[in-house]
Amino acid sequence: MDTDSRNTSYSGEAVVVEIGGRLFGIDTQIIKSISELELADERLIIEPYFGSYSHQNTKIPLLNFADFFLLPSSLPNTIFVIVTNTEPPFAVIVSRLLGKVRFEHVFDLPQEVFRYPYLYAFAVEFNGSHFLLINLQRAFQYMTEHVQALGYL
Amino acid sequence: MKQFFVVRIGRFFFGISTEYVRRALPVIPHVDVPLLKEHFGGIVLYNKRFIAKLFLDSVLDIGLYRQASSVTTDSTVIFEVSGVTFCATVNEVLPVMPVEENQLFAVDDTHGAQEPVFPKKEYLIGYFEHRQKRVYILDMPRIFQKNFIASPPN
Repeated sequence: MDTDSRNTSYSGEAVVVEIGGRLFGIDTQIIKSISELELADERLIIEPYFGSYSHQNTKIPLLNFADFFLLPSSLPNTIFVIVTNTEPPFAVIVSRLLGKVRFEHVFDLPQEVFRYPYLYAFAVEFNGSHFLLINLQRAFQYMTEHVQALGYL
Repeated sequence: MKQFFVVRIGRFFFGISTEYVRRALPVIPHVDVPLLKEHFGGIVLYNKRFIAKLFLDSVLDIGLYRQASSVTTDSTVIFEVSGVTFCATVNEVLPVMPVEENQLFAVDDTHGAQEPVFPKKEYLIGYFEHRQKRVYILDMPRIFQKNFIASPPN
């Protein structure tokens, strides 16, 4: 275990996902379910930024972060939808799911240089590289504010 | 006598007071991060923590200078200003230069007047001559303040 005080001891578990061609992590603590779906699935309405997903007979917001992150937004024919256990719930669309990783410590980030502080909670080492752990609730809040500022909401 | 760490970015030479420079290293690859503030180009793992990579050429508005050859003299320079560590890639690192106070001159309106590209004067606190070249002294506290503290979301 690295005892360097500049790293934060924080053990947890994340799913590694691909959004817009980049890898990110999502803390499993916020995840209620993950579904693999065809892009044409009638439960999905995919839009720039916010679409919707019919989850247990209720429509919930479906967040398309690729647009917000200014990343390529094309999607494969089969995608994954992650539903949160928040109240109210929302869903996030990701183009690939690479698996689940357990981590024992994380790397702090220079939050002062991000347009949206704490959008990424930490960086986590993965396969010799690092991915950023997205704070989904903050991302939802920031994307809502961004879309409202654009006049789309 | 003042000590300046001297770097080259493109065709311009810059002096940085040594109090703000921690190390110069071979180029460290950065991790791309979506939604960074303007002038930042990613984050870099240094000394077991992530620090920001600032595009100094962009801050200074002197354009991007990329080497055509795969063999470059590029370096990553680690800075520390107000307790915050960050880095920038420069095209060349030169030896630290001691400069007498009376060899430091002000940058006035005539500097760069004839040049299509010239570093933003708001970030220059003076210059000195070295081998018939002007070495412009960077105002690191101002660069830090404007980009890390005052920079609004864009």
